[in-house]
Formats: sequence, C-alpha cells, structure tokens
Amino acid sequence: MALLFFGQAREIVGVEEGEWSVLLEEKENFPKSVKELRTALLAAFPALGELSSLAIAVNADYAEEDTPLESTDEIAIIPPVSGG
Amino acid sequence: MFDPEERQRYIRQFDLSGFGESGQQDLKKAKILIVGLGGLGIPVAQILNGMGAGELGLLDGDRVEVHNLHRQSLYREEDIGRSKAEALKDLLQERNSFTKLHTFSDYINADTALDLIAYYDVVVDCTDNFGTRYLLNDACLIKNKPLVQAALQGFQGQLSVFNYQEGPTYRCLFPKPPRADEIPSCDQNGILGAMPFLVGSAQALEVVKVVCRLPGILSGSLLLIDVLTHRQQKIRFKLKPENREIKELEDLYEVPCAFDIEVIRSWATFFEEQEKKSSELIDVRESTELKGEIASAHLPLSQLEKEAPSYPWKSGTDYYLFCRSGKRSLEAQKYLQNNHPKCRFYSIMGGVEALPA
Repeated sequence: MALLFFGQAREIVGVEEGEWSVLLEEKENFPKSVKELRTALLAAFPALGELSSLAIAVNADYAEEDTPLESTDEIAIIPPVSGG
Repeated sequence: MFDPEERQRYIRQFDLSGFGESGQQDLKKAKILIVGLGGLGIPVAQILNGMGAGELGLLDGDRVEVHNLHRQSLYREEDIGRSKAEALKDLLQERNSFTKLHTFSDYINADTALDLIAYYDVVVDCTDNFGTRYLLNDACLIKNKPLVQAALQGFQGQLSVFNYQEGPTYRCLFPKPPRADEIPSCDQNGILGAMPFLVGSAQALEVVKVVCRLPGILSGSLLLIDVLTHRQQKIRFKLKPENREIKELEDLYEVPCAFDIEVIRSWATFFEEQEKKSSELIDVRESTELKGEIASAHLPLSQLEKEAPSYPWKSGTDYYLFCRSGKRSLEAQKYLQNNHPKCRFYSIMGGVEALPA
C-alpha cells in the first residue's frame, strides 16, 4: 500500500522532501477500510489528530470512511492548504 | 467586437486552434474578481490582463511590503506601502490599456462579500487564509458563481474549480474550516518565490477554461502539485448535495490564525498581567459607541493612522487593545505592532462583550 502525504500531513509524518510516497509495511492487521487506516495513522502519528479536516483518497478517488482498502491501493492523505 | 489594434495584439490567440476568435470574445466579455493580490494573485492578474480579459476586479486590503517582493515581483520597490489593489491597477493598466480594472482596497468579509461578487462572472480565490476561503465558497454558492481556488504550502500546491455548473464545493472536500493553529501559513512557514508563479499560472488557465468553456475544467477534481518531484495527481471528488444548501453566510469566518493567537489575550490574562508589569488598556471603539463603561485611553480604529504617531507610547509597556467584539482590536494590534515595535500590543478576546461582570 503506497501512502502519499500532502501539505501539513507531510510535515507531521516527516516524509523527506522529494519523496513522493511511503510504503506501509504489510502487517497482519492491515487496515481494511479508510476508517481503520485513519485509526492506524492516528496511532502512529498522533499529531494528525490535530487536523480537523483530513481528506483521504483511494486510487485518486475521494474516499468515505467505509471505503474498503486493498493492499495494492495508492492512498493520498490530504489536509487543506491555505497559503497564497 | 475587436478593433484592429486588439486583433493584432491577440493574433496568436486568434490563431490558436481550440481557442480562436470565439475564445477571445468570451474572454473580453468576462468579468473576473481576483481576491487576494499576493503570491497567487499577481500571476493570475498579470496573465488574465495580458490575455485580454475584459474586466478584472482587484481586491486586497494589504499594502505592499518588502517581504512580498521575492514572489510578488510585479510590484516595484517604490510600491512598498501602497495599497496592493491600487499599485497593481497601475501596473496592469500600463501593460494593457484595454482592460477595465476595478479596485477594492479592503478585505472581503461577510458583510461585503455578496454585493462584491454579484457583479462578476467568476471569482478567483488567491487568498492566504481559511476564513476567506470558506467565505468565498459560501458566497459563490449563494450567488451561483464558479470559484477557481488555488493554495500553496511548502513545495506543494492545490488547485480546483468549485461550484461550476452546480458542481462540488470546497466543503465537499474539506467540510469544516480547520482551526487556526492547525495549518501554518506562508507567513509562518515561508515560501519559495517560484512556487506561486507555477500554481498561479495553472489557476489563471482554469479561469480561462471556465470563462471560455474549454474542456478539462477541474470541477470535481483537486489537482495536487508537487514541484520537487514534478508529480501531479488529480483527486476526483463528488458533490455532497447538503453542501449546496447554504442560503446565507455565517456570522464569523475569520478564525484567528496561529500568529494571531499569540497576540490575543483574555480579560483574565490582562488583569493578571497588569499586576506584574507595566500594562495599559486602550479602547479602539469609535467615540459614538462609548458609554463610559471602562475608564481607559481611547484611540478609535478609524483615527489610528492619524492619532497613533503622537500617542505617548512607553517602551517596554504592554498595551491591551479592546473593542466591542475583539475584531477591530486585532486589526489595531497589527497596525500598532508594525509601527511601534518597542511596545507589545495585545488584542483582548471577545472585547467589551466578554468583559467579566
């Protein structure tokens, strides 16, 4: 599963500049829905919980909490951005 | 519709297949409001002005500052201190005398938004704060105007077109405005001069696509741009019909930003601090509002520029500013802190309305 972090989420997770995606290690308790992924992300990076609006897209489609996940999915984690 | 001088000027666009004279006509008929004349607003305005947009509204309450120039490089050193809207109008008019330019040297707010955007065909969000972004989203829904929005953070940008032909809105992506301290702004995080040109150019192009009904408009699509990898990704999102139900604006969109939070203090803090260090209270309400409820110095916001220079400021003193609700005192705080750096200025949260009984 490839995770793409954008904006402030990238700052929080600490993805290196220039790195496009990070791979989530295959685990037995692999998240099976967006909701589970959200829970797993918050456990790993509690600061993500500070973001009240955090859109998640699965394979380039905006996803709802009950959207199911496959191990081959590409997931984008997108907080809003305000700079102009 | 075009005189020979215009034909010659736009000949390369007349010749462009997929655009041509009809595209140029649509552009000439267009009335476009650009909100925010900073990093994004500059390339958007410059490009649309050059291409032949008929009317441009230029809106920003900011004045040109020296730390703007690295990315807002159309402004000149001699423009520092001028209203951005006024300075930009002159700069654009010199470059294209055909464009009709309207200036608004104030920030847009919930009182003015609906009237301001009513005249225009499309609104371009080049602002730097979530409060205004959500205000524009809601106002564009109410007035049924497409909203072309871009935003920057670090080496990334986001671009989308909201409310196009009753399509998805900003709230379909991000339902609620983030709290002010969640997401840093360019003021706090810094921004590279080239970034807004890249994203702002793409934003101007979306405006042209909307106005000229070209294909591929980013409606229901959020374009994510990463300039370090040069990868782009489009995220598709759908309309959530409840987000189109907005019938009136909210009272308050201005969520204080993290920088503001440091300068916003409660009455309780003021009462505590004045025991410890030299602190003075200043009322920034207008004379007509005063009913004598608090004995303090008085510097009405409308008279600030005139009266503040002669005020007996004391170095090292903390000044606590208040108004009715805490909004104008924050404005006064910004002005005074910039002009009197040897004193500390705070804005009292909630103003007189929050005064403990």
